Amino acid sequence: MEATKFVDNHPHADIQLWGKGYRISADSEEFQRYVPKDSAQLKGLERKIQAILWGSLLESLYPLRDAEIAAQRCVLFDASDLLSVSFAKTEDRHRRPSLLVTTCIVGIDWRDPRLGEITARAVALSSRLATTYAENLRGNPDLVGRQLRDNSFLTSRSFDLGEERPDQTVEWAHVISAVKKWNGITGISTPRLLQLGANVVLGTKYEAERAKQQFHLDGFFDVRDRDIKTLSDRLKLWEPKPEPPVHSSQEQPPYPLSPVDSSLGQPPYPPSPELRWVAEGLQELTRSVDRLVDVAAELLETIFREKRRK
Amino acid sequence: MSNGLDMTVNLRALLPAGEWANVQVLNQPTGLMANRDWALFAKAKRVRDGGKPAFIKFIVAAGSQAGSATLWVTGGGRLRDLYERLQRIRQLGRRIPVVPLLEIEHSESGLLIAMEEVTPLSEMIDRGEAYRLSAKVLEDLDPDTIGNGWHHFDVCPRNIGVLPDGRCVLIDVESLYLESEGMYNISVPAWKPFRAPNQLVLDVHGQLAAGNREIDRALAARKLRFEIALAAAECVLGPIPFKQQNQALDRSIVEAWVSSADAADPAVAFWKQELLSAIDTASVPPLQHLRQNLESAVSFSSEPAGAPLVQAPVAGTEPVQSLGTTISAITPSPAESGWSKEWALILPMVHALRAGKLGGKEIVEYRQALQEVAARYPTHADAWNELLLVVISYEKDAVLALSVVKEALKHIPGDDGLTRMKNIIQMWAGGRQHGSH
Repeated sequence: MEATKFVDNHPHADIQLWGKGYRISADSEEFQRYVPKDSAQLKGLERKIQAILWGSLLESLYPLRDAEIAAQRCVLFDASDLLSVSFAKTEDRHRRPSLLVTTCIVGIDWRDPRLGEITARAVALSSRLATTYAENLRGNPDLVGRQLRDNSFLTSRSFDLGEERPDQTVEWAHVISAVKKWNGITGISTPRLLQLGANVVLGTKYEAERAKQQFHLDGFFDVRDRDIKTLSDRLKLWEPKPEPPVHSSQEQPPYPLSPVDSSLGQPPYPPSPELRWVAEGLQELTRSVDRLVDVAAELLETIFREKRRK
Repeated sequence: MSNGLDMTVNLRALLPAGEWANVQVLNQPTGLMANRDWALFAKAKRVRDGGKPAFIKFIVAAGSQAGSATLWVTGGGRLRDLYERLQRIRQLGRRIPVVPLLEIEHSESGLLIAMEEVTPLSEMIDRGEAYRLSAKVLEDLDPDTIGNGWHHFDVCPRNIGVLPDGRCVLIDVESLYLESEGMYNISVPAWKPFRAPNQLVLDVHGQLAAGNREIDRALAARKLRFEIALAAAECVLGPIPFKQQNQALDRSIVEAWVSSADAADPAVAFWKQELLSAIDTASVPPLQHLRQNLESAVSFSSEPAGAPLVQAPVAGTEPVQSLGTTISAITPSPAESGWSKEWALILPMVHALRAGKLGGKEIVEYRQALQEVAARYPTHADAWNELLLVVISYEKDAVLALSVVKEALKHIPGDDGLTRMKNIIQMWAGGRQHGSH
């Protein structure tokens, strides 16, 4: 819970910004961390990100269109934090295409029933900041470089998630509910961002099996069943612990076996653009069944009413 | 800050690029005018708080060579005081109907005030889109219900904004003052005396001259109420056509102003009556009463039948869940006697009416039931007021309304509300007759 800060009951997130074209945390203009300038401020999963070999990952993203890059999702987890990573396209001072990365780390409590919503807000924040900063840094303005160097680019890297509109492209409540069941999940991401360290893919079984040839992948999130399907034996279901008498929320076991997020029951959204038609087909099927059930119920009610009259 | 270009660059430099996006400086003075500009304005998107659109004002601090007048308004001392006052106002939150302040920064170069973007009421009035806001202005800015202890010295449609959620708030935050020991210290007494009657202008200037730019709580409340009411009137009547600083508002100005509005509109008649009365007395009634009377008097003919635009609230009663109560239920059985019992029976219909759940026939039946109740309890103003509301706002019958109000005044002579209503209805009925010729 290192990064958790609750002000007015809203969780706060700390952000990172990476890009190229300025000399901020490294003595070159190559891809580097701009915020925070000082690595001593980094926390848990943020430190893990420092070891990423960005070259090949960025190279794979350059051919994508802006919208495709914005649609990528990656959320990494550990016992006390989650970290969302987002990318956006911008331009360097020579008008060449360049990429920018934002991350957003939130301290979490796995027993928190709002965890799905918190994740959705953290993803929304990192995505919004990526596209916003891509515009502000386009062309590497000198003014921005000065602000980054003298630490006046931001008044604080802590952002309130309270006013962030939750990300709607992924059903995060269901995803988190599924993640809570399994021991060994490091993160969940769209196939192109698996290099960041997630071992569960937001995609189809086909995509997962293809990605498995390249990355250490242990499962995929099935939108139809809203559950994680394992692809290796490295993921284990959490064993239920004998429940001691509970006196307060602080005394509950850290990883409940089947936590349920309060916001379940929303229509499923596709986890990636590639899966949209599958999810939409499933939604249509569900709606048809619902309509049939409604019609049957109305018929039954009419029959009973008639019988009662007779 | 020697020329406009430098000012623009400096404003961008003052705004951290990680906190603000899409910064558009709105005034970029060049040449000789550059040195005269005392403030820079910009629109931007706040990166925090979900990315809200914002309006930024940067008051440039007076230089060491500045004259005494400039130093008075934008000198370092005044900007520091203003910064501290705005911080206190910000902490008070919604206890003052002020635009949400997103950031306040004070530096040697000046004072930066960033606030949520609003639509100025003046623009809506100019476009003819503010009619519906007349009652809203009275409700949202009412110091008696929102919270007192504050004073805005220059309330006018240019200094009132409408937030995206529809709430009316005060802008031009430098004109906001907080009460101290029953007095308001008006450091820069800039206002528009043509928006006040002569007596009020004299009183304000008299106190400011006598008391070291201070006005007392009572006068501040009177001035504030008048200016808010006037802004609410402008929503219906359009902008005041005469704006000469040395010309106070008088009866002839109001008569000329109102003459260009639709005389058949009861809202126009209402405001004419209220403004003339306010000029005579140099004061206006509590804004809550004004709003209630406006809501009772106004007929919004453009709305669907049975659903007036301004819904008159009924305090202290539970909302009706369904229209289970029929009209006949209003007429009490012989066992039920007494005004309170009868009124309790009426309340579901009161709510149903305001919820737009009564059709034309039911409204007629409701009015007839109210006429019976008013006849049985002629000294109860509530029955007459409800009856008048139905006749004016729903049946839109000026002749019947006039006979009802006259009947009511026979039983409750001298009632201020009914008397005012009678005058308005008379003007309305007269306007209709005039219009029909």
